[in-house]
Amino acid sequence: MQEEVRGEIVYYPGCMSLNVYPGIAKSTLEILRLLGINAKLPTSILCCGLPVGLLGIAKNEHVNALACFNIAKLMGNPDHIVVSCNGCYLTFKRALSSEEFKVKCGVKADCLHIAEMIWRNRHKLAERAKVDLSKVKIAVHVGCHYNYAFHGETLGGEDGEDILEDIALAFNAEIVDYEEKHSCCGAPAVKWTGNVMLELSQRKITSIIDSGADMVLTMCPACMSMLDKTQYELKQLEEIEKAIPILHVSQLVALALGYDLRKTVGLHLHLSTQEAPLPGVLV
Amino acid sequence: MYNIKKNASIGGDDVWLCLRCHMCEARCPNSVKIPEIIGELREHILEEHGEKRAVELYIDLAETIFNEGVTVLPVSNEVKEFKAESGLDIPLLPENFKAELKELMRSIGFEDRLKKVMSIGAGRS
Repeated sequence: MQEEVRGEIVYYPGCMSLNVYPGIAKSTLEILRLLGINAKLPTSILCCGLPVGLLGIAKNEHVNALACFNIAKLMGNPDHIVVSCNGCYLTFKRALSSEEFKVKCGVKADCLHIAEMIWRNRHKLAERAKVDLSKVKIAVHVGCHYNYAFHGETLGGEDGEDILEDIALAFNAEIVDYEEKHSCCGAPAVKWTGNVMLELSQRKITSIIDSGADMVLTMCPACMSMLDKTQYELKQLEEIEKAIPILHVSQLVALALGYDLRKTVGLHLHLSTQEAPLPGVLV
Repeated sequence: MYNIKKNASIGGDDVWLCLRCHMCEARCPNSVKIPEIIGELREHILEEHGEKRAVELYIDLAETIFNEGVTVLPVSNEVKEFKAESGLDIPLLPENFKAELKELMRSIGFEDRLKKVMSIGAGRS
């Protein structure tokens, strides 16, 4: 399978895809391999810096210093960096869009989101599908730090409203709309501002469940974690009747391509939906 | 920016309620980078006036990043096993890189900033 990306490629999983939902990292590596890309991993893992940058504890220059250390030292100055997290994407893409940063740091890479690579190859990947998703109704959440932070420079949808809908449609899934589709998941809310984080997340996941969706499709492990935790709490409190799977786009594609749900997709590591069914797929 | 900083409501929560989700920036007809303004305001408030709640809830996170390199370590033994079986056991920062990173962050003023934020924030009720 051909893919236009050439040269030295590093997959940077970031903290969440590695230490909370490693099924995202494993699925991403398998998809890259299918695309003919032998991506290397960083020699050590170091946070991209976004969490402390968002809060204001670290300034942009400090976050950029972490980005430079990551790219130059731990990734070995590659041609391309692939990420699976919108936060890592925001950090690296913003830093690498500055020629001054590139010259000062001595790096040359660009930053790609795995969702973008899947989107470009979605029809070729879908030809290899082994699992029928035609009975699955999907609600998508692209995430603010991809959708809104780059002034239209990121990819939009062709067949659907956005790249996640396009990918789901390529695999014959059904898209469902929901009222809170364009709102934030709540993850970037500052913790001490009362219940903002939980209220936003609860509104979002409740809206998705009310839409009749069988699952949520995301491209950011931070959004995924927020919705997963909230859904778990709502289920414990019996405020929702059922929990639905929340999958990263790499995990959904790996699932559709027939990879092992436990060994590759890592569905058992999700908090709220270890036993959740998916029509025609998981029972 | 100077006037906004000067008049910022130091005790209020307004500046902390922003999600920095960039939706306003994407919709702004003049492409004003509002999240950047909010970011600078937060940096200014933390540096000049402190914020006890930031110290209580987030300084550990900042220190974990610069001591361990990550925001979160594997959350369970199952995650550790999955990573080991999947070839995802990427090592934490070795000691020489930790020392180099600390020196780098010290040289651009991050260590001093963290100490200042902590000392002001811890004392503010």
